Amino acid sequence: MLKDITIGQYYPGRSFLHRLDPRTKIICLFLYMVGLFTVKELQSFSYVLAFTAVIVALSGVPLKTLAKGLKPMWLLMVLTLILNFFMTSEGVILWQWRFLKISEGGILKGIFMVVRLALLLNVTALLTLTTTPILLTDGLERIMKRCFIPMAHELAMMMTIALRFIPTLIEETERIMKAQIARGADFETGGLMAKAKSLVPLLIPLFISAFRRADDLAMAMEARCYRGGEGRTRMRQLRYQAGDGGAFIAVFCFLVFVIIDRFWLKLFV
Amino acid sequence: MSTEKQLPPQGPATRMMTESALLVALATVLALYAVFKLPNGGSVTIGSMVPIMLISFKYSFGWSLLAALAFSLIQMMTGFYAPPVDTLGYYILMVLLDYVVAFGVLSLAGPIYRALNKDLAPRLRLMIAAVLCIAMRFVCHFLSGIIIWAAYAPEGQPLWLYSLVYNGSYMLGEGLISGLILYLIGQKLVTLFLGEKA
Repeated sequence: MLKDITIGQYYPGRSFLHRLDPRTKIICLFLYMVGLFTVKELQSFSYVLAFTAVIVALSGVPLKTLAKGLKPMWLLMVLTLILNFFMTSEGVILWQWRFLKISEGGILKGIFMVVRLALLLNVTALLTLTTTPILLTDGLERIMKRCFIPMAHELAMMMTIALRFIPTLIEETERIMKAQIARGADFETGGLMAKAKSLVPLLIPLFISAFRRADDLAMAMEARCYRGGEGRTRMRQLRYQAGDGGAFIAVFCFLVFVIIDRFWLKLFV
Repeated sequence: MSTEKQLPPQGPATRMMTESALLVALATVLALYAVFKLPNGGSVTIGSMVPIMLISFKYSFGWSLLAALAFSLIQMMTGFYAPPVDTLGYYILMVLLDYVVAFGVLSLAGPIYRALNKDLAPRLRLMIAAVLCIAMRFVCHFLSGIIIWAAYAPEGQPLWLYSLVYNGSYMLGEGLISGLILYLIGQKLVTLFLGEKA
């Protein structure tokens, strides 16, 4: 049922965005988000959209894949649009029936909110689509270490191991479920108590399996002299390349332009 | 030999890390199996909070907080629900209330379990600790509903009522399932994982 799930939904490729350092992508995403929230006029989204289109093109991720990522959010977006249409009454009233009315300001605000939400989701999705979970964790660890956040290695290592074992445990869950269903277990019907009871034959073997795997893994790690993050070296070192510098400059220029436009230029006001 | 002396000593930290990581992975897997799902992210899972609470029953509060943070980051990676907010501040507040703090409070299960009267049956103590932590998680989502997701409240309905109904509808089920699971298998888990005689 869930065997094919891809955590982080990585889209394999060799595009410019794929080759960027994960730290660059995380920091640039944050700067992009600051820029996105600085924009207050719908018209200003024209250059934000153009900039985002360039990012999407550089990612090599098909638009179909990006649109698929928006699927779980469509209801939220439609709701945002409808609520803003009917609940904001600014400017000219375009349509009215009893207490329901649609104003020009409402339409503009609805579109503004939905466009921002879509941009936010797409660019956030690009981070996970172009970075493997392991690289993402590595990047997070390095950033946290730079910010002097304690236990950064432990957190990153825990996430790496968890991400590695999620597909294995999904497979295990499916196997145990099938085995228990073959023995007559029913996971679908019944009240809350019945459901909780039906989960026992699934959860106990799963927990035991997780503990056993943790035991084996700890032994294997210690046998290979794992002693925590202190003094630990890496086979694959994260190194900034020329492309990272270019990405930083581009996003920084974008942010500066958005701020200048919002407070001084007001190009679209 | 000299290299051996320079390295920090091996200890129980590796086992602590692998056990916690595997339980975080298990929590993520259980969160994928939803009994029912609401729009905007709320869902009743098959006990996804139990593994995180189990970490806090065995290890210190600080360590289980770290595991809960790892879980919240992975949850954000698997499916992030961006809120329709006006400022970056609200956006960060949403991340804190709906992910980081909401899962972080689960790490209080251990301290609560240890603080409860030792005369009570261990599985009852596990269940009480779980229910209290889930109530705290509910408070986080409830506040987020009022502050962040207020735009979706039907017109005329008080914000607190909207947040209470939306978050209560799945957190009640989630809390009951987790509490019942801990009550039913708590005895076995205590023996297996905590090494206590139940």
